Amino acid sequence: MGTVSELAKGLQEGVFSARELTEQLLAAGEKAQTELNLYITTTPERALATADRVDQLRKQGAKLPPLAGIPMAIKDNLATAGVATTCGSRLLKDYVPQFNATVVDRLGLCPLLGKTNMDEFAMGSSTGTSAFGPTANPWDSTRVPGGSSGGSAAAVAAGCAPFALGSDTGGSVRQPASFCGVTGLKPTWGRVSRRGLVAFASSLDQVGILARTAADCAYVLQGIAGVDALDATSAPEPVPDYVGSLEQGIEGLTIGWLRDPHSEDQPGVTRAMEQAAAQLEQTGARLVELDMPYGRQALAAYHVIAPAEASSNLARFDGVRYGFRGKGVDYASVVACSRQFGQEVRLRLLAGTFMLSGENQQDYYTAALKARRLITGFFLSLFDQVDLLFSPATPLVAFRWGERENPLPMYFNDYHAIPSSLAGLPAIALPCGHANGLPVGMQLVAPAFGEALLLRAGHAWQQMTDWHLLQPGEVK
Amino acid sequence: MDEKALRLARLAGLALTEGEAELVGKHLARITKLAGALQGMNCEGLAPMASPATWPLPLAEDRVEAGLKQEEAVATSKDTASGMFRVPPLLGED
Repeated sequence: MGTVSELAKGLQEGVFSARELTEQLLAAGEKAQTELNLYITTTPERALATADRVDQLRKQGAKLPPLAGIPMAIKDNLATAGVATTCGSRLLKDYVPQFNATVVDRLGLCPLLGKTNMDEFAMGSSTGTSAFGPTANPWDSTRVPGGSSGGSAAAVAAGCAPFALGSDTGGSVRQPASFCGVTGLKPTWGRVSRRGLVAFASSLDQVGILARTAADCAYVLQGIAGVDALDATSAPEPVPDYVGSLEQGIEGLTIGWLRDPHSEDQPGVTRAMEQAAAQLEQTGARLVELDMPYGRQALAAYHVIAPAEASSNLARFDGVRYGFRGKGVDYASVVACSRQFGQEVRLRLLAGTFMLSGENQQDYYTAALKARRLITGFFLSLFDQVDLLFSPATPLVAFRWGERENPLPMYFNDYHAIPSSLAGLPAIALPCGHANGLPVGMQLVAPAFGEALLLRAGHAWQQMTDWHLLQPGEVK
Repeated sequence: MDEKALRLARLAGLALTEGEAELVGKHLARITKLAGALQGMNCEGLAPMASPATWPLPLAEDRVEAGLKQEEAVATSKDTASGMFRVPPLLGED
C-alpha cells in the first residue's frame, strides 16, 4: 500500500477510484481480522457510500481536500454517529452515538473502514484489556501490538489502513507505533479538538495519528487541527502549513538527547538509539546530551493524576445514564452491579479514588500536580538550549503475551512518553531500527505547538532511512 | 474483607469479590510505593498544575439552543416504545 500522498495522487489522477481503493482495503482488513483482531466494528457500507460520494464529486470537478477518498480507521473511543463506540468495554457494547467526534467530521470525506480495537477505556499498553479480545502484532502474532491504540497501529502496520486515529494520554499512540514499526504523532494538548473523544484523563488526553510516515501524519494533522467551538479546551492557535514545511530540513538545529540513568532500556533499544543519534547528525542537526533527572517522578505523577481524573470521568458509566445495567436491591447496588469494568480499569478507578479521598488528596494528588509543574518547567528550560528532544519512544520492543502480567512492569512501557504528556507537548514516534527482528521506535519532542518542526524533522529522518518502509516480516 | 478496600469500592461505585479485595490492597501498595518518588522533590512555592492550557479557556454564552429532535434522540436506541427510550426498571423485576 502506498503512502497517503501517493494514494492522494493516484485518486486525483484517476489511476484508481476511491471505491476501488476502499474495496481493496476492506478486503485486506477482512482477511487480517481473524489473525490480528484489528477492528471491534467494521463499517463497509458507510465506507463505500463515502467513497462513492467522493468519486461523484471528483467527476463533477469539485475542489476536494487532499485526503478526500483516502480510507481511514478510527479508534473505538471516538464517537461515530450511528456506529457503535465501545471504548473496548462491555459496558458500552451497545452504545451508538448520535454525533461524530469533531475529528471524524473534519475527515468526513475519508471512507471509514472501521473502529479499531483498544485497551478498555484506553487503560493499558497491550490492547489486552479489551473486552473484545486482544489484537495481535502484525510483526509477530505471539506478541502485543502495544496500546492502548493497538488496533490502530496494527491496522496501519498490516497495510489495512493508510492512516488511523488513536488517542494518547500517556503514550497510547507512541508506544504502539513503536511496537508495530509505524509513525505515531501526539499533538500538543489543545491542538486537536477532543469533542467526541471519550474522556479518560482530561488534562492529558489528546487525539493522535498513526500512519506510515511523518509526511502522512502532516496531511492528517492539516485536516484535523484547529480550534473547535464545541471543545472549550481546544487552543485558538493558528494552524501552520504542516505539509508545505515538510521539505525545509533540520540543518543547523540542535537536538537534545535525554539521558536518564533510571530508564532500564533493553540493550537492543539502546543500540538502535546510538545508531539513530549518529544518523541524525548526518541530517545536519547537532546532537547534545542532556540529563533527564525526572523520569521516575514523571511516571509517579502520571499514575496519581491519570487514575484520579479517570475515577471522576468514568463515574458517568453507572448503568443509569450510560452503559450496561445490572440488577440490585437499591440504587447503590444497581450501580455497583452495572460497573462491570475489566480488572485493569477497576484497579485504576480504585487507585484514583484512593488518591482523591481524605488527606490523600493533599499527600498524593496535589503533590503530583506540583511535581507536574516542576517537570513542565524543566522541559521548557531545555528548549532554551535545544530545538527538539530525542529519546527512545519506549524502553523495549513488543513483548510476548503474558510476559508483563503485573500492572507495574506494564506501566514502565510509557516511561519515555509520559514526561511530554504531563507537559502537554507534541511528540512523534518514528521507526529507527530493529532488535531481535522487531521494530524499535525513537521519540522526538518539540515545544508546544511545534508540530511543524517535529514533522519536518521526522520527514528529514525518513528521507535518509527506510525503517518506516519495512513491512511485517521484513528484516534488514 | 479488607475494610479499606471495601470503603474505596463503595466510593468508586464498584462491587468487589473477596479475592479482588486482596488484589486491590496489593495494587495500592505498589502504586503508593511508586508515588513515593514524588517525595523529596523541591516543589516549594509551585502552584499545582491541573492542565497544560496556557490560553484562557472560554465560557460558552448561557443561551438556549436547539437540542436533538425527539426522533433523533431515540434513533440509535436498542429499545423504544411510543417514541421514548424503553429501559429496564432501576429496581425490582422487569
